[in-house]
Amino acid sequence: MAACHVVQQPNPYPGGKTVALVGNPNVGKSVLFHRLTGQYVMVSNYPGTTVEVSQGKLRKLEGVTLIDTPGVIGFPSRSEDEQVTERVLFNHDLRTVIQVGDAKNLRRTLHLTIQLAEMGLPLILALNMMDEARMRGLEIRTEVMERVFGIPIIQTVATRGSGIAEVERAIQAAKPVKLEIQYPAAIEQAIQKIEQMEFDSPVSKRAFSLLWFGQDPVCQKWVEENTPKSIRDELIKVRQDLIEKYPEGVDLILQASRENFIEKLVHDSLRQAKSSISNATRLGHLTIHPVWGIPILLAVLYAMYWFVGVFGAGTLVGLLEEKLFGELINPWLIALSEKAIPWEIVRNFLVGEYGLWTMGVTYALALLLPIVLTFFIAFGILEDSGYLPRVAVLSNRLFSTIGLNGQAVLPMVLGLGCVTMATMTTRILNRPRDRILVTLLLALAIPCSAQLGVVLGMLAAISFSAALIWVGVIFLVLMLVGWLASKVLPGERTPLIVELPPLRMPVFTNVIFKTLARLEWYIKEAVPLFLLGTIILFVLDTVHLLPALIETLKPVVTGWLGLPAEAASALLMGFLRRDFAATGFFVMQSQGHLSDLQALVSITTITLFIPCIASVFMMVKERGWKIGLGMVAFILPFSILVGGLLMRLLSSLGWGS
Amino acid sequence: MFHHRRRQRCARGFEANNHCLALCQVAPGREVKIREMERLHPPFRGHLQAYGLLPGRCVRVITQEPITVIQVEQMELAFEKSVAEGILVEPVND
Repeated sequence: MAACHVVQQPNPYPGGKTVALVGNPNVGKSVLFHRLTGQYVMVSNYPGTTVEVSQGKLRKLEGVTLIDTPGVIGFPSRSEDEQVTERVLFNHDLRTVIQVGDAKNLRRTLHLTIQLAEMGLPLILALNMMDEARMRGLEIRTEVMERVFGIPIIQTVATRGSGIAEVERAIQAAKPVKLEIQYPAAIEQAIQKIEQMEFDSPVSKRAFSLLWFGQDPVCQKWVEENTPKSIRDELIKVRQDLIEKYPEGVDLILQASRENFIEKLVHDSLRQAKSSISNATRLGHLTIHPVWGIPILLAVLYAMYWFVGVFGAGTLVGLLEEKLFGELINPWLIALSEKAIPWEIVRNFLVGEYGLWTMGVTYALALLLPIVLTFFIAFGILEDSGYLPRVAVLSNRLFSTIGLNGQAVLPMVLGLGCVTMATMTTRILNRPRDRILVTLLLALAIPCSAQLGVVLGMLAAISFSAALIWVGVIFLVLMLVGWLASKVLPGERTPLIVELPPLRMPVFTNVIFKTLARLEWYIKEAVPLFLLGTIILFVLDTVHLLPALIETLKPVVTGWLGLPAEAASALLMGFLRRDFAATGFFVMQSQGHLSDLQALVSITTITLFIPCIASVFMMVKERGWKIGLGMVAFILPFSILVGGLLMRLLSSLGWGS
Repeated sequence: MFHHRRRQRCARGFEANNHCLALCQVAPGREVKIREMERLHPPFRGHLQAYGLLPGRCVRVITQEPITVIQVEQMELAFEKSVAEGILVEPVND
């Protein structure tokens, strides 16, 4: 058992303006953040979505900002998320650090507590999810741990608001802690050497040394930027000697010492009564069962289809587009503008065929908004229920055939909501190779919610066999391109390692907050582009360039794809956002301008089209312009190619006639 | 107590016996103690250890299909067979 001693020091930043919230993923950090600030924040149940750092003003301490950092598993940091958190700890003069820990997983929580305490930060520990811990028969004696660490430890249930007042009081009283665990002699000597060097460390020199020995990337960068070469050389020498002594990894030794320390502590402070397995746990096991997991997955997908495709794209769109806009608002506005606006061109600009209101606003608010809204609600529920990582487990084998692992399903499912957002979340994948593959497949074959709703509506109007063909073609393209790309790209496949959070009933307000934030993001990003697209179309139409452009596209649209000539203008809109094109096809279909075959070919082509201008920007930003534009150059002709081939195949089979 | 005992060999060529075997050989429902993880590719080892899968820790196997799922404390962790093969465990007397 490693010995330790605790020394409390006065807080060097009593008037500090920042407090940080730190903790493992899925411990309820964001819910606590919300309780302490009363401000909205994105909450998620799978590791990786809280990439951005949220900030808010503390309710009970005027002028103090609370930073919600991305979830960390431990240091040295392994992911971009963890590096962000470490930088917050390094660079901010923190008044207090609140560690949020999962009471159910005490050992895991304490590994992080030790590291934070070693840094000499003014620390408090909020032991969250006490309700779940009690339900599992765990009884925790916090006073034992409080003595050992010398920090306040508060039992909380953030979702119900219990323990929050105590946390607020503890924030004000927190003092820096110095915890010292005894490591093996060679490591202690190395720490001493570094402690004698003359430089200002961003955290305690002891914790800094330990991070340095573990080759932590943030620490590495700090040393490169903040120490003279003489010090740096000395630091490298000390570390090199240790690495030679412990070839299996210095970090392994450090962790073993901490584990020893924790084992003793947990022995003294944790009692476990025998508890029965809860129904949620049982259901959780069923969801990854090789046989039962599949029908459950299908049922979840069907429920989602019903909510988004039938209720959102059908009922809500019908009410808004046909009734509210089609029969009430738009006729009234057209009549009004005919009376009030004498100039035809202005009238056309506002309420004409490509009118800012009649096309732009109507499409954006009446057609797309209900679909996007229902999708974000459904996705938020899935995310908070803890089901998504289980989908990763179930789909792992499928993704392994295209050189990925089940983790890729998370950006893919999010892509069904918004490809641009999903492209950003490919960061949760560990390797550049996986990120490139998933980015390509997202852009090529994953329809976003806006488009999906329109597509599902069109498919429902044709036949079930059309839906099967559409799904079949998209799936085939996904697998084929994925398989080919994984052969071409260098590098090996990474095996799946994923935490399965317990299945939970989603908190209603959390889902709503999240949906609203995503909706806001969608409106800010998509609606201006929608209006811009309409204006471009209007200008092209007014100067009679549109017919010329449509004429140019005609051989492709009519000759190769076998669609009516008007479809070219819809396809043109697809360059801005492919859901605009889908919406155009939707309107054509409902007016009887497309045969079943033409409707199916048009939606298959547009599903494989580039998603939207914003997604192209995101692809270029995340993957670099070479890869980003390369993907666009591949996707455009490829989608047209597949559409034409499908048309020829289906008409030779006599489908739809 | 353990399935596939005859067909599979323990990592590092140890004969599978009651003192040492790979995690992928442990039957669901059993509790085992982690003995060593040195055969694992270092990044995967680091990843698992950060989750608390450390030598000396007791874990319970929940299932081996479609992939290995174990319980560490009250947390469930899923990983592929290729990873479970690299973790040596010993039985816990319960």
